[in-house]
Amino acid sequence: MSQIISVHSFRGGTGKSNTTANLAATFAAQGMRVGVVDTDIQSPGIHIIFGMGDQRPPHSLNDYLNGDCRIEEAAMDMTPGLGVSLKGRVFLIPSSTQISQITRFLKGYDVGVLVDGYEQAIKMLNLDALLIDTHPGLNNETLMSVSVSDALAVILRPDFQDYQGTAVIVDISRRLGVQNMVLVANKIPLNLHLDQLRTNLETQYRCPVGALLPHSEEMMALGSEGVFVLRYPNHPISAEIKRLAQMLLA
Amino acid sequence: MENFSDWQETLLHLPLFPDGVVMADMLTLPAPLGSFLRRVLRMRQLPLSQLAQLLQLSSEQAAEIGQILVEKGVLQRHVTDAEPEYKVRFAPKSKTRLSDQVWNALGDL
Repeated sequence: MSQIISVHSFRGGTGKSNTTANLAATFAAQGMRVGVVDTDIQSPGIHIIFGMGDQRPPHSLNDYLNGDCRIEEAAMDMTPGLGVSLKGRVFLIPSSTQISQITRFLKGYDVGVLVDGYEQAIKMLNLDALLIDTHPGLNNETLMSVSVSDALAVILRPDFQDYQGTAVIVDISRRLGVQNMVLVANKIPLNLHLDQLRTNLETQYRCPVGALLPHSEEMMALGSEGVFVLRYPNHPISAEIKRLAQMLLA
Repeated sequence: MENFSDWQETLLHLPLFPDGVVMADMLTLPAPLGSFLRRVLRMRQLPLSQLAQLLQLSSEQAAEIGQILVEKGVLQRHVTDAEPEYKVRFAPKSKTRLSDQVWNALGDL
């Protein structure tokens, strides 16, 4: 049965898109067919990590939401451009980077159409998993995506602004009935004790920690120009992402 | 809540949602109804028989409750060859507080 997995955070800049891309590649390496939907319409970015650069896709999620195409027509097979041979496939449904398209959606969009699109994408692309890269914070569209997800990864940095906002996300996600929720601490300063951080997070949020991702020079150097787990498959961060992937599918 | 009359009583006080519901409504509606709608949303679209199961009512009673929810603007019903199917009826767009002047300026970009 196909899984819908949302990757979300209360604040921006936590590493949602990088985590989503890395999860997608990890699943595909295991032979899964994975879809990734960039629902961060106001500030799209995951297409960069998949190597699209300035390339303008023939269709985008915006076109689907406008009723201008079917959702599967907005899906692009990113697998050949990932630079390694994967047993599975990664399809990206990107958001438009055109200013006119972004501003058009600042008023919001029909969330019912978006959810129908998830189902349609799973069916038409024969997906094992659909990953949703969300817009940070609380808004109608994101709450909808979280509601229909089988699993949710909540990303936070070890930062007091993140701590408070994450409590809100965790609480609301529980009220929305998310069954499988895991925390991901990202960009952890190297002087923090990881075991202690894990214990603190699990105690405070009553939620399992799926991954602890320390600050990494390799990640910084990559600068979102590639998928980390494919470039550094033997790095400790890649091992943590694999662990996270397993927990999200559990 | 497993009793038909309890559901009727709850829905009696439910306001109308002429444009459909938004996610905030799902979180703020009274507990049994909010919880019910969240489960319907997770199941995306469900036939009358499953609606009855979810409400723990007979099919006839569930159809009646379904009808009230449709009239209140909370659910939408699709008639199929087999049995009717229900899904949450969402408001098409988020409301905005930005002035027309701002939207016009954005439109010029």
